[in-house]
Amino acid sequence: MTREVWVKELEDSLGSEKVSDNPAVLACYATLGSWDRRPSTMPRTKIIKCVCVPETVDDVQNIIRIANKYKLSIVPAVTDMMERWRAAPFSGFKPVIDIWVDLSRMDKIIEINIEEAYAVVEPGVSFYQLGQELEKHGYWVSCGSYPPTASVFARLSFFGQNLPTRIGDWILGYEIVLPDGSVRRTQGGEVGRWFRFHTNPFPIRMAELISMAPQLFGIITKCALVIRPKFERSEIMFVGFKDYESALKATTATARRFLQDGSFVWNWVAMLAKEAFLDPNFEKTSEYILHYTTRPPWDVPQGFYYNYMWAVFHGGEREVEARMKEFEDISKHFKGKIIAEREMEDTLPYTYRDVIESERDHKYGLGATIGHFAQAGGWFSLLLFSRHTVMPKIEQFLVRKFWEDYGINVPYYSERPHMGAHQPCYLRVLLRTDALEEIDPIYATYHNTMIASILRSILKEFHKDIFLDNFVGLWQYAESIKALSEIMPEIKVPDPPSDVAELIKLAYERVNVSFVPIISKIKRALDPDLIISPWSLLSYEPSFIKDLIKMGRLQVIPELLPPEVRG
Amino acid sequence: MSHYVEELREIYISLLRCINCRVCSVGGRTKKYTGIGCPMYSRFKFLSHSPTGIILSARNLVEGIIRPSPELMEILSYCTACGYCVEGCWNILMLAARPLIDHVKILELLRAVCVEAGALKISALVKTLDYMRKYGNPFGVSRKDERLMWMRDLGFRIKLLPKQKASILLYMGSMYTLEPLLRDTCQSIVELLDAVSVDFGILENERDDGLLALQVGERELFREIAEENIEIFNDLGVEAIVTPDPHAYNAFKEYYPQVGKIEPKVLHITEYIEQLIKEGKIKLGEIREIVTYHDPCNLGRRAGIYEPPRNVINAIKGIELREMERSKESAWCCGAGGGVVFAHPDFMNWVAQQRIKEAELTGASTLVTACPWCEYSFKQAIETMRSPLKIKNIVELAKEAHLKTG
Repeated sequence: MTREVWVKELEDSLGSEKVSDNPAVLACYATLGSWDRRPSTMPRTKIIKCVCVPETVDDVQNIIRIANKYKLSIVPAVTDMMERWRAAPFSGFKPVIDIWVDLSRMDKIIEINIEEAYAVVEPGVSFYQLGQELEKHGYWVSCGSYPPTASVFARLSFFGQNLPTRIGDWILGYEIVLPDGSVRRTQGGEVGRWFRFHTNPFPIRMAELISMAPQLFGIITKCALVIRPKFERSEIMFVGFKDYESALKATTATARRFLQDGSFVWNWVAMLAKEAFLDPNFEKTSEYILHYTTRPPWDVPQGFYYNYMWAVFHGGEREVEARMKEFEDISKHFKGKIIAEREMEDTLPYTYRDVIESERDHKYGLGATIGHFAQAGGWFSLLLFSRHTVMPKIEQFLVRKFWEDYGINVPYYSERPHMGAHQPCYLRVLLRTDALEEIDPIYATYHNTMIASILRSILKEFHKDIFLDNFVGLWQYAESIKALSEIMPEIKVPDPPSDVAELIKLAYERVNVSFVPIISKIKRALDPDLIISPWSLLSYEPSFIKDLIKMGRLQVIPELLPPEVRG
Repeated sequence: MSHYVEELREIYISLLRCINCRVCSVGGRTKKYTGIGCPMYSRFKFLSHSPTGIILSARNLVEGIIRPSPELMEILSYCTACGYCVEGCWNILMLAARPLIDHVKILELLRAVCVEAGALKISALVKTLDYMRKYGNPFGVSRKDERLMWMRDLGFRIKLLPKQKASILLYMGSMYTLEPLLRDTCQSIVELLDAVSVDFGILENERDDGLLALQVGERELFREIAEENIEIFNDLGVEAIVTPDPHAYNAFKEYYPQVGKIEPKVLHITEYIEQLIKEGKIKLGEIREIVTYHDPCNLGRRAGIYEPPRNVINAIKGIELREMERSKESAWCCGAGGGVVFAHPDFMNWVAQQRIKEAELTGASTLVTACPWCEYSFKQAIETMRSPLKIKNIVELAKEAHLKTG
């Protein structure tokens, strides 16, 4: 069936203003990254034939009806969550997406119920939008340092997914349109991906299964979430340390102390030049950070960079008072100096304002981190998630490897959010690119090679401790290298197939695949034509890959395929 | 490869700096503004029809993923070049004293690439550019004297430059001189200046400022027009050029310097009137009215002129100025900019209606603005909506107040 026929039917059904097969429109969606920085050499991984922007549940049902009729594949997506919803886990596969469903137009706040403390929103509702409404009632919803433009549903759902914490409990339930077009409402639980299954022991209840993986089973059209009254008291404390090691120890100790009692506390240790934050035009930043990166870690003069952590305390008057006291004791034990708010404002005005506004006052501004690093130039990030007890070891290993192999003293920051038990942390390594922008393609290649190499080393050393499911860059870098080495054979890069194979192998080691046959059966029962995000099963289920290739829903680079699929 | 693509390539790194936070598209709370952002995105909700989409398209073009095409030009043609995205981007990144990514400049380059590649197929815009080439104005008015028709009913004579001499050149712009809906405003402007004995004149053969050509993508035409205008302006021997059209003002201040230097200083009429009020040359009587003020994009965000018009309004006794929710940096666009007035009048009308609704919420009886393009689109919108709101140019308001002094 030609595309024109089903696109016409979509247009007739939804209205032509909600459907587009304009190649320039499709190209935007096909090349979109998330708000994370992406290397310029990122390969284009999607082939999209049509984009729909439904406005109502009826529109969504109509899309599904037409997709069933013509056996078309669908990917639902919303605001900044595009990347997470994209289902192309490893290189070698290029999904052919017939209909990209952008849910941004479904942006109505359906209900705010103050008595029962919940809100019902459509997927396109942003934190800013909901926050404005809630503020009128003295309520709030968690946004953290994410863009105020992000979808509340997507952010909270997937935040729960990525960091299996109490944040997931913000979600009360979903309305979902299943592949047969029926509308169902689920019970609570955040949207999960695979590792949820091995962190949550079997047996899994059916309702939970669906609510945990809707990108596989349907399109969410509404989400009910918890809203909270403003706390009686909210305080923020900043502590400065003489050296990074003390800051790190204090942060870990704080994390441990508050781990089990459900405190809403967040620590951040920054290892960046103090002056980097002082210049509004960030001219100093480049100078300082470049200077810093080219010195060995042991040669960086004291006071050159700033070590601090901060914590936010929310709760009742006395509860907050007690926690602040405890936090102060821990900080003093590690020779930290409590920084008065005024001092902090003078020293790091922009960070201060942002932290205060977003974390203490729950205003929906953009996180300082994103602003700072984007402003400071082009940054490549290497994002790793692990348990807080392992993170210091990974940090040390990483700094050593970067210095020994590449002569770079990497700036990085690590976070230890702990809003409940089993809270992992993350580490972000930042590497500037714009200093070498004149030779950008070569530098990008060099960078990708470097990242892949370091990553490989980390995975070898710590693969049992790293949550690979969260490492979004895993497949991209390897594919970048492959693509670039084809374009510029004179550039020496590692052999791509072996890199990829090794990474995939390590990824497989981490994942318990015993549940896959069950999921496959449910998926095929609910969605016999595999219309909704079939690629979500891709890396784990060879039979799906083979089927999808047969159905023309995957373009493949044969030499990059995992052996079991190739076979 | 097109040298416009080369220009895009030169700013490629800044294109990569877009972190897709989408504050440019959907708004958010930032240091100076609150609001809901891009008119094009608000209407269509496709990523491609957003500032983020413009950045992505520019990236895709440089990387060879897409080519200039009528389909791309069609998308770009809906952008009103209001600059809300630039302001949003600047604000969200918080630390910058200047924007890192100027979406409007990128849009202009993208359109130039499309026009150069022959991808402009929107007949209204093709026609507009043809008119500008042939007649020096976007309305296709061939008779030169038609540009002076609005002066017919005046009870006094205006100096015509360069035959006559004056110390101020009043550069009216095509929209004011050729759009019948705006004739009253034209007359109010000169009547006020004449009433306070300003030594001014207008060009006998005024030509368009050319900004429209540049924004639609015809850069060479813009260059030709700019070169010609600069030569004319510099030969006049005037002290200053005063214009009531923010598009012309933006063209002269922001874009002409890339072509050549305009010797006389350039002022927007609101700046000039503010100055005359301060000097005591314009006296203002009392008007009992609640008004709201709309910041024209080319005067506000693109030129940073927010206070002079407000100072003029506030200088009128008895008037109450109520700000709309989105004002100054976060003002919503009127919908007429960037060639949209010609290419997509329905979309322009939709954008203007959103603003009219917002103005109505203030309880004001009059929406005051300082731009002919805004006046035009708002007048169209109130007619469609049957809104009781009155649309006035700030000079009309000042003239009324001046007349009250007797």
